[in-house]
Amino acid sequence: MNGLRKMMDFMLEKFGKGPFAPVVEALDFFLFSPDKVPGSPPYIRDGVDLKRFMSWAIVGLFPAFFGSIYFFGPRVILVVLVSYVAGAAVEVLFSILRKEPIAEGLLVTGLIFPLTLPVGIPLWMVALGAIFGVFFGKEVFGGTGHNIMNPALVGRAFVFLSFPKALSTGWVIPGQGALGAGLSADAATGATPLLAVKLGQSAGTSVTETIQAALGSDWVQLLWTKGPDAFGTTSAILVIFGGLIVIFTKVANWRIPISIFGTVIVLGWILHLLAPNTFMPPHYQLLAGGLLYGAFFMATDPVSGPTYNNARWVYGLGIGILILVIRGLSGYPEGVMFSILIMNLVTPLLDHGSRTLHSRRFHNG
Amino acid sequence: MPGGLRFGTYRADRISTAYDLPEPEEVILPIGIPAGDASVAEGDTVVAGQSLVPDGLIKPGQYHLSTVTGTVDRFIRHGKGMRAPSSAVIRRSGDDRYHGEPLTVPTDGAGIRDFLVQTGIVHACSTDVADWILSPQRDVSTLIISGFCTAPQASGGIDTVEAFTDEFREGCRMWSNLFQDAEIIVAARADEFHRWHALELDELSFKLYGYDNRYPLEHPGMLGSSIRGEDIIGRGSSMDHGIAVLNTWSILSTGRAALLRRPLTHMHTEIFGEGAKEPVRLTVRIGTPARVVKETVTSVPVRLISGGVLAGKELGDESPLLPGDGVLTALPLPKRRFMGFAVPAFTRHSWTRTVASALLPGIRLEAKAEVGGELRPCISCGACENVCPVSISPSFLFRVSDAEVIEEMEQHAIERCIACGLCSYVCPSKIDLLGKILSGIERLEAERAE
Repeated sequence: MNGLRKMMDFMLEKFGKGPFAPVVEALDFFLFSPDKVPGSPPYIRDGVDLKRFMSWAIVGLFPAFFGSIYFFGPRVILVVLVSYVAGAAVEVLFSILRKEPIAEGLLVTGLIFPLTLPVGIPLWMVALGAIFGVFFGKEVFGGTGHNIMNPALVGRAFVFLSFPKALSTGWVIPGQGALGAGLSADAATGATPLLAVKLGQSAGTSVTETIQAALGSDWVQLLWTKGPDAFGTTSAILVIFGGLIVIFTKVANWRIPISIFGTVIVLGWILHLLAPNTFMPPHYQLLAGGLLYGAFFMATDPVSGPTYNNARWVYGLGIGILILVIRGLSGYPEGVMFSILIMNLVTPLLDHGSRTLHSRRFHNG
Repeated sequence: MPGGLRFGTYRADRISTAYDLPEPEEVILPIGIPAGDASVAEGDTVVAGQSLVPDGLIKPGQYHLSTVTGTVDRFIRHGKGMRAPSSAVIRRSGDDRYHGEPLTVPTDGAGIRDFLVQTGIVHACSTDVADWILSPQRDVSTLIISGFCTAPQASGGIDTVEAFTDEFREGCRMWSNLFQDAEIIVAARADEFHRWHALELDELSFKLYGYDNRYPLEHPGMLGSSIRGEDIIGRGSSMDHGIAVLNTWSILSTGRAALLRRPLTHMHTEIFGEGAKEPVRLTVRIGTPARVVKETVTSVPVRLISGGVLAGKELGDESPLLPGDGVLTALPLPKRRFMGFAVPAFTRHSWTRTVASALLPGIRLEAKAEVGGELRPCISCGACENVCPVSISPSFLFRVSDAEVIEEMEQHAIERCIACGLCSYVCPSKIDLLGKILSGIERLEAERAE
């Protein structure tokens, strides 16, 4: 370890003041924790820092990531690598230009974004999405901590709207044959479960019939693998397991997913009873799309989500309602991405309202 | 209480060793006034117990009595300008025992207040109480003795009272005579009630009021609010509401002076922390430089913190030990660890559960004087909001403090901050929230003064 330390000292001396200072410093602090002492009280600090915080978000994504490799083969790794390299290039470039440290948020964005894509997506689209997401979703606002929308979802929305064909058809069916099916050109494809419902509606088949045809009475199979979709969202069990990790470690706030699930279950159930051919049953809403993944990993992004607990409940409620509305009434089969992005935009207002209402009691006696 | 934090497994070990610290060659006594206003000048001979400050210029939190017999060697000016407050450095000259007449222990209010000033006890109290002693403004209806500490590595609760029961009894008597009509309440941890009962202090007729071990419940404003059942945070000091809060150290110092019937020249201080060779109780001459403590009780390079590692103050090598420094924590300086963010961290505490100690709740935690990460932009995670015990919004207030937006500071009750330090403690971005909020409060007060 001494050799490594000496090498880092040499690099800091050589490049620590030049344009590449952010890169060298990032490497130095990645390899060795800082020895800085607090200049003022409190004289001890919590054991968590942003690297540890973000690392646990990544650990939470691991089950979905490794599950994707199992379901779709090693191309998953390639897609993730391209996302990391493209996103990192933008982040590093901005750090050099701004002369600011490289922020750890990239570690999560680089993984959370590609898991929302189909496994067969062309790699250049992945790179473009990552670059767009980091650039327009984060850097133009001033970098980590200043963005108003989730950069991963901004990238996803860009790919979704720019390359609709790539994200609406050709979804590879998980677990087709041996590992690596995702790489083969003739891998079997099909419609995502939610798209199947939409297509069924257009063809005059009721929602219940489509679901019945897809699942029979055995909806529990949705828990393990729901069919072709964004590869990170394939297995509800793995997403829930990862979600519980980020909730338990307090990296994600539990109020947001609980609020979303509660809304979708209660309101979704009522709407399904009122209009069964328009609104899917709650269990299908929860398990058949990207809701679990979005609720656990996307909506809980601390920067673009609310800061205050009261606002978090409302934010989750809003996401839940929008998901039901978009899935049930719009032409889009899936509504999680737009719901979270829309509620991201409402977040400053929610926080402001929550803070103002809270502070009012200090002035009312 | 909505916020706060439990630091249970940080609690200090019981003290089993006690000894006298070596006598220093000179003592440093912060007189709190310019050298020119002092009662003595350089080269003057002083005796132990002699006042160095004219009546009327005594400042709380300083020390106005000589604790040795010797010669005024020099004055050290603090801050800029000739009118800046000074410390007197007194060189000992052998026999520095107290040779004055034994003091009479009074029982009336005015007499007790004089006694507290004559013996230096006034400096062992909080600033609010010291101000009241020097210039009483209103009646005190509730006397709260804070008999517990919830900060990491702290003591000063029942452990110390058990070691000095006679002093505690005597001190309680004097304070109850001073606040004759006040209700006396000992705020203690609910699970330690049996130890208080075992002291057999029934004649003092105080009530025990129970708390859990959640920091910072022992803060005067928190105690006052809890016992009164009304929120007094941010509405002046607890003394403004007729509530005097004293910690056990103040009571013990009072009792010691009453039993000795002379000004205090020595004090007890307890040293805890990973940087100390062992938890120890020292008898120290008041005004001893902190470096003498470091040289004696620590084994590695440390920062010496007085008054709790979250809201206390650092004692530099030449900082004198004063009666308020009853509990010291020796925090080892950090080293650079290989991939520190990825190690499981079995002995580090976190508000989150990202460290291994979260899975092993009984594990003994270690405290180091380290930031433990790099400064990053706020990610609005809300950790500070969740732990803030006075329900303000640190993540918002630090921004308006930076931007000096006075209206927002007022609207969002920045003055409720009790400087407990929890917001800075939990921040994963390592932002000095407390420092920024305190700057904001200063700015607000300056604006109001204009």
